[in-house]
Amino acid sequence: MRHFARLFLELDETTAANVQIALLRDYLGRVSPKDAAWCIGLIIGHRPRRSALAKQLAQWCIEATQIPPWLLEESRREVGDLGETIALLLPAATVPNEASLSDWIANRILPLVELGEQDRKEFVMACWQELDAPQRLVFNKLITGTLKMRIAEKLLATAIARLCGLSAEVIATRLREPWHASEGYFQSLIKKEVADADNCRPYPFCQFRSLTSEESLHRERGS
Amino acid sequence: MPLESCLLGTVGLGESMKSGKPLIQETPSGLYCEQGDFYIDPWRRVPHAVITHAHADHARPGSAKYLATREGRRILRTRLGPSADIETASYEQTVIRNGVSVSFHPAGHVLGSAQVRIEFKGEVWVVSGDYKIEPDPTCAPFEHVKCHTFITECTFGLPIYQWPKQQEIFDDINRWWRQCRSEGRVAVLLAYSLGKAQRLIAGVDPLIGPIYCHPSVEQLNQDYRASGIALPPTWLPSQAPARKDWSGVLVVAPPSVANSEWMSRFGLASFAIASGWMLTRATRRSRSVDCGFPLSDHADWPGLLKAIDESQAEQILVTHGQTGPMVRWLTENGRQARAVVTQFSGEKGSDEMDQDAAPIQPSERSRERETHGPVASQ
Repeated sequence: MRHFARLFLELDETTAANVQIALLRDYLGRVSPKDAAWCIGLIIGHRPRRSALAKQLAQWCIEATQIPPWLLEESRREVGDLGETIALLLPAATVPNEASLSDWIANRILPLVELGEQDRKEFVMACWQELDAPQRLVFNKLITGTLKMRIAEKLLATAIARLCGLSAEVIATRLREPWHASEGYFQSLIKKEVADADNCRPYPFCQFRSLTSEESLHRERGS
Repeated sequence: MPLESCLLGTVGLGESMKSGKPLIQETPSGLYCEQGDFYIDPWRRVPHAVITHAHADHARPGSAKYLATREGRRILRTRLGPSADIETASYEQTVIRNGVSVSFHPAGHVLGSAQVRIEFKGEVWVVSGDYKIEPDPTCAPFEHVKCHTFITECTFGLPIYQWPKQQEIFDDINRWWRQCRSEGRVAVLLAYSLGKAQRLIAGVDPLIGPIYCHPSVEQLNQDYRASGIALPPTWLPSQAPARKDWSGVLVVAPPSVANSEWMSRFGLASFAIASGWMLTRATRRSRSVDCGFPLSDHADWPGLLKAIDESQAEQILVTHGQTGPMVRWLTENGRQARAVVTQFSGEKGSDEMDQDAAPIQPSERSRERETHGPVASQ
């Protein structure tokens, strides 16, 4: 998850579209197709189901760090984000885990929902000990369902297009297909053969506007 | 007592254990030792000033006489000008002022930075100035000094501030510099001219490429070298041939020149800033730079607590930075502590101020975007 955490922070700190495209292209080209599929899924809104409440995370952080609640609140006020505050407050990782993004999501984050509260707490606190601060930030946001990538689909399509040498329009069309957290999903996204289906749909970012009433038609005309 | 203290009122910083009178008082001109008749890092012109270090919010020009460390005399001279009357003393050397013993002890902040130890009739106070605990090849390491009252800085006084390992930060800086080189860009590292710049120059891998510095940095590099601190070779851009290809070069400059005409000669550049405030996303985003490296010359939360513990002080006075949470934390843990208002926190955005001492406030918009309370984010 280290690579994804770095990507998340680097994307977050720049507003330059070209930089974001380059970062995404490099990441998607470097990681496994399964990690790439999850990264794309997170960008287009397929977040894992929330398995912990932010207030639970705060409580567990207080237990793990032994700081009083008021000091956590002072810290949150300084940082502006609870997931990040907790990531910064926890002590350094004791048993670093270099598992990939898809492994973390499949083996740790998705099964969390099934656990009872006590087990969930112990599991989350154990995970914290395996992650450095940037990874803990991503982990906290994933389990509370608050991870937002803030990357436009068009920009994502451009990054994938640059990676595989196809046009952004073809990739944008393929991104409209159902998403799967699988190796095959990413491979079908970047496959070289362009089928008729890739070209025959309307450009997805130019939505049709439907006029539902006489009134809205007049408003459009400015009358 | 000086006339202004009589007129404007003087606040004692704490009861003396022996004489009943505090050894250091808070006056409109700064921290004042009445028994020795001198000020420590005064912010107004005074007859006798004892200076902890040469940063502009601590060493202000205009006082009649200065007492500072021998190790920092060159940079203090550069900062205060040729006419300043500066007396120096080595670390540990005791100077007697009206029967009060004054000595300097390394603060590990920048070259020549010191804590000021004051002893009078068996009572000891220490004014920390700015300090950091972690090692820095460009200055003497912080020394723990036992005292009855410890006046400590508190710039990063929240537990979120725990510095990453120094080597990891330098590895990141080197990686960024190599990336710039491979992309044909100039790597511009923005850092405060005094202290931070030299620590960076000493810590980066000089084999990656040549290092050029802004004149304000280069002048202090020369002071550091003349004071016996080893730095890799650095040059001024004006020494370079005309039409030089700047790609792959590291430029170290103060943050104020980031958008200036001076920067235009370098062409395609990647900007980075080195400051402890870069630890949080909101501040990294609020600065329009490509990278932020959380390297600070101030103590982090564990560093502050360690210095306070090791001082074994009965009374802790906390100044500039996150004083409120630190005082509450110390009080709840059985220490006698209170906040002291000083003018050491610097003027935001001024290059003459310590970059770390001037918090870079995240823009309201970015803060608002990320702010959600423990429950609000549900």
